[in-house]
Amino acid sequence: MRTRRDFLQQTACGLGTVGLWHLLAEEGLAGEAAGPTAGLPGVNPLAIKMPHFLPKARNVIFLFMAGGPSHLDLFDPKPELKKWEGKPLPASLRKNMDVAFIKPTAHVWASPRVFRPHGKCGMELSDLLPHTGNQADDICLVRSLHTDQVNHHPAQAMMNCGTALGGHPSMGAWLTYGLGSESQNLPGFVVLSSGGGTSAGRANWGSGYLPTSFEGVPFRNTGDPVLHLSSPTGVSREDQRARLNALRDLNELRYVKTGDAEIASRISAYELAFSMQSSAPELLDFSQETPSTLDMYGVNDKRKKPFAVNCLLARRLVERGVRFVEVFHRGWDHHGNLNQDLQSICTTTDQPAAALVKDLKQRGLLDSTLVIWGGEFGRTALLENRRTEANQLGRDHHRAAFSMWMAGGGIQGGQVVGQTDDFGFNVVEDKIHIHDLHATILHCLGLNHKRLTYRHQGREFRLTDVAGEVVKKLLV
Amino acid sequence: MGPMAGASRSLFLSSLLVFLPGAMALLQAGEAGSPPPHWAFVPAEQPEAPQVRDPSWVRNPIDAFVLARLESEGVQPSAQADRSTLIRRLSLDLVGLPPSPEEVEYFLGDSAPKAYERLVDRLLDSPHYGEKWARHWLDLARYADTDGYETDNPRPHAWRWRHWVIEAFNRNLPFDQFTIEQLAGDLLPNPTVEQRVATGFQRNSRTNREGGLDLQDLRIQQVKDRTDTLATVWLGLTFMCASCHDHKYDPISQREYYELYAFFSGAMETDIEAPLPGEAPDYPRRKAEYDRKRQELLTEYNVAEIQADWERKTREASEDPGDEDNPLWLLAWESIANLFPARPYPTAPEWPAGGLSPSFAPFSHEQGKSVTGYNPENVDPSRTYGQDVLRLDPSKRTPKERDHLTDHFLQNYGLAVGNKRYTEVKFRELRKKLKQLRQEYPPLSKAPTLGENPRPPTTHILIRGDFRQAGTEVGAGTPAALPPLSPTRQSAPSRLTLARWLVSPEHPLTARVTVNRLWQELFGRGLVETSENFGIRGHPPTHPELLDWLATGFVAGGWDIKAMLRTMVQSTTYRQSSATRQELQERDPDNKWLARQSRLRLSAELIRDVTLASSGLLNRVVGGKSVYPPQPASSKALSFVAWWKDSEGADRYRRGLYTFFQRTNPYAQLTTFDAPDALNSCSRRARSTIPQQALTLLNDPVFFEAAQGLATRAIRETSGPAPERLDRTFKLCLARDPTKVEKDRLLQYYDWRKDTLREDPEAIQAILPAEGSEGLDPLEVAAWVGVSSIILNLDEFMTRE
Repeated sequence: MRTRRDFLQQTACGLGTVGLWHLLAEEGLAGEAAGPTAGLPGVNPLAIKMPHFLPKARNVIFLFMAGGPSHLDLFDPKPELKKWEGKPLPASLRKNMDVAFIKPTAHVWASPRVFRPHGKCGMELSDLLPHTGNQADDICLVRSLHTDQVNHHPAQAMMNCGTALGGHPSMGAWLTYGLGSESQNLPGFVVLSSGGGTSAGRANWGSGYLPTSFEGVPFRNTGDPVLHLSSPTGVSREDQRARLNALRDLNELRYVKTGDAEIASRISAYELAFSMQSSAPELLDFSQETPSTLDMYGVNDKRKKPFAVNCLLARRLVERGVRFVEVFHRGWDHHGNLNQDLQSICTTTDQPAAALVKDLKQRGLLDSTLVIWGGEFGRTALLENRRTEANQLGRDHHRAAFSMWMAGGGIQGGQVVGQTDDFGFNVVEDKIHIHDLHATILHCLGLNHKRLTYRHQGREFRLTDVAGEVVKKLLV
Repeated sequence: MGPMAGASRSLFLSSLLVFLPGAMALLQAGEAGSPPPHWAFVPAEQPEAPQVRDPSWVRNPIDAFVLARLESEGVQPSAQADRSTLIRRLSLDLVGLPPSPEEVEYFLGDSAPKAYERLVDRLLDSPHYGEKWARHWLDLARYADTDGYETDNPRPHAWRWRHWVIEAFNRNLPFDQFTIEQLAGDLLPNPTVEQRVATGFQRNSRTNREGGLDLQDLRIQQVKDRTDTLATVWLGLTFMCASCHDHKYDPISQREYYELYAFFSGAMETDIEAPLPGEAPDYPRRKAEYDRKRQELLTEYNVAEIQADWERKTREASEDPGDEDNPLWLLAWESIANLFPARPYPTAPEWPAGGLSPSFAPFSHEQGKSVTGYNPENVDPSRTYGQDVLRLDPSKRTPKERDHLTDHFLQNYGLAVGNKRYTEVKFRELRKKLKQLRQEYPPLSKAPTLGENPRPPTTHILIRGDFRQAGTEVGAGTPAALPPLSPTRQSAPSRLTLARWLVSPEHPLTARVTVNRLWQELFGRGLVETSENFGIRGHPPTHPELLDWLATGFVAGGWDIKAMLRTMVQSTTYRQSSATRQELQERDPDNKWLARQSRLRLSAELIRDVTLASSGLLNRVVGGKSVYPPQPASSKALSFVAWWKDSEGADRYRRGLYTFFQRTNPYAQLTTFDAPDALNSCSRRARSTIPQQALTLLNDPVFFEAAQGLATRAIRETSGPAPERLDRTFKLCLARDPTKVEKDRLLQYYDWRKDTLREDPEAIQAILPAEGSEGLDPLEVAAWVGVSSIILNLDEFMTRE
């Protein structure tokens, strides 16, 4: 027979209740006198775990720009392209070209954007990213990424899970598995989304073969921020608490009868759910933020608001100990109408993303928070013409080279890493594969990507498969 | 995946084995000299049941094997669980629904001999048995209702195969036949429609329909998926490891991977008409009427003329893919490959005489490659079906081909000509009318099946698994470490040969793997814990003789699943109490010795089922199409294309296995309770405990509605005061009476709740169900909703004890 003390030692939150104690005594089940005992952890899968070595970053915010932002129009100026305008690419590049829609014989289209240097470091960025430019000395621009996949779903899975095969854990799941979460009453991995659902859907934040506890929890833009967070109408918080008390007492009785430690986990999960019911609304309450903070993110600007709110929420989540926040923003797949649509999406996202870096820095959180901005691949230097009524030029997917930026959390800001050829087609210096990127991110969090493994189907799996090198150049 | 620390010996052995094909099984990491072969590759022989000191405990040989182990450990088995626990356990395990209070009462009062056995037989005969056990098979088959990539298109006919599985379990189709029909039903002599429907198992592979896709890549991924799934389901082997290089641990070379793969590389997706009983008789008359009305609508909107123009331009674009003035027409051409329905079965009456459509020959253009760079010979011909139809002379098209093309045109015309023109021709309006007409004259049910590609591609080893790098050509074959294929009269072995090989009596894996999974569902853990992996890196069996006794008995008894389950649940081992024992917790914390039963949290689907059943809301219709239980707008918004429309009426209350499974955005309640993602074969589910589960069961309107239903039901079914009503509520949910202390605690809550509600008439109104509480005291109902919710959230409620 279990004692109450045993029980309390197995629950994560040490639930002292006078009511049950009387009931147990009544049934003759109370074996020994045990006062309210502080519970010991042991059943919480998100309990904090030690990293492999001293980390620079504690948290990650990944601003995932779904669709494939054009590196040629944002990050990687290619003046040489002007000379090739309207002509096909050199034959050497056309060979084995992997594109989705266009033909290898399509014509070059140079970017109409104007690039200028920013910050002390002189980082060249397009005129569509003035706010990001203001943070140039804090961010590290990487121009030499490449991936294996050229269609959206597989490429998004590749970027988030390190493989296009289904059923593998996402980076956020790996990190909460490896490090646990410092938040007591919020999930360890939170997913925010503006601009609609993403191509790879749940795979982008799934736990794959890792336990479900590590899966990203989507916070919603409409209705409850966490699915089914509010009690049904008519059920007050007082009633919810009263029901949970009765539930806990009955579950404890069951524990005494069966001795199954799983019941302690269940009680903890119910208590965490109850505390989420108050902590999640507090998280969403921006009334304590100053007007200048809100303005800095662009929260009051109707067009910027959806992404701005999520960037601000990301900071607030990190402040509350959430390990990994991934903000999805869809709308970067510019096969046509690129000039107008890219300008429009930059107008809505540039300011909030830059504000996040600035705000984190002002609060002293940037050193311990790794911010990443990027999508699943880049876009070609070639023209894709999907015109119907007007001239609507665009670019096709491109996997051999693309750009991202990172800031804080052990990353050396104020530098540009990597170089592509004159066509922004192939990487010619500091080639960085997704596996290398992942290895570097884990490194920033104090994890050796080769040691963060999980046994599945008879062998150890990892985020970086059998590859991946930490890119030292990116680090402080 | 690379070598792991400590695996160097296995690695050394694997490299040796390249030179010793067939001998690999002998080289499990053992002593030098004559190492014993890996147990799982040695054919099972029926062992004698061991002698035990306490034969009175032994109901059947299962108990002898288990007790012998316990006696050797000096451990007593646990007492039998009480009868109310037993009936709930059996009901949940065999049909996945809780016993009704009347069934409980009957069983508790049935003191005649064989009461337990009669209960087992009644449950095995229930039509709900098929639902419960089909669900496990759906996990293995990675069943879903959508394609699984970006747009994640619905698969409107997927349910038809699920329907077949439920029926197959209910009619207790022997597992060998069950296997043959799903792998190769189409290749049986004169196959029935149902045998073809069975091959829908193979159609659960994901399908990408993103524009700009490489169709050859897709086909190869699907063939790999079918290969990997077969290996997990029937062989319990992690074959997929060998798609890029020789398996690091098990005797599977990369060549052998592609030899197994070759069985599927000549397959082709094809949909057939598969009417359910009652659908067919009136069909010809209805179809004629439908055709006439449809034609009238098409004429009204001048479809023939506009379509002819669209066809001509699309065809022209396909003939000149280098022409950059036509990008949208090329897109139109490509979309036909991506969005057209699967090619009909080649032997169906509509298929042109002689089998192959004349348009089937690969078309030629720049560099012999298509626009997207695939070689048409290497794609699933179903994916080029639409393009073939478009190239056919209209007068040579079958009526079905004509309809498919027109439907595709009406939907996708805008892709080529832009929205303005699309609006001008009013096709949205027309499509709405056509859809309505379709609803008035529903077509025959269809089923996704597999057929043989009339022009199968050659199979090559893919270097590093890359579809762009074809290596040596290989033919179909099975791994040398397993028994040889029986010789066939045909020149090459087929899927049918493969299926028969899997269920040949001397096969060492199929029966073991299968009985182990049945055991896993009843005991919470397989005798081989890694039920997906019987290879060298899998766990060894806890009771090897018992596993072999079950496996050999399964084969000898005609692969009879119900008989096997009956044997298992009638054992004394199964009937034990699940309570832990302190002395056991230290020596056998994972309960591997089986000195007790295990407590198992119910699966996602069963939690829904028991909740709806206890509350009286459950719709007990068996089989049929998938349904869309209500979910909040914020859940639907996570889809790339949001089209989920909540079901209405009785469809809202169907069992969990009928919930439409959208791969990229699954119904949240399912995944919250660890339902698999349907991307790969799932042999055993996780059982996690997370706070979102609590939020779901407390607050999800579906579950709150159940609490409302349970409250009104309990009040209606009892006339007495609250304590009596509590007895009834407990019986409905837990198949037992509450103890005094439980009763006191819940009534304490009830009294408090009633007091607070009395002051709060608005809350009462909010808590009352929309319907069902007419004539009842609102205060009573509202207070009892709270009590009901507590009981529906009890750990015991969601647990099989």
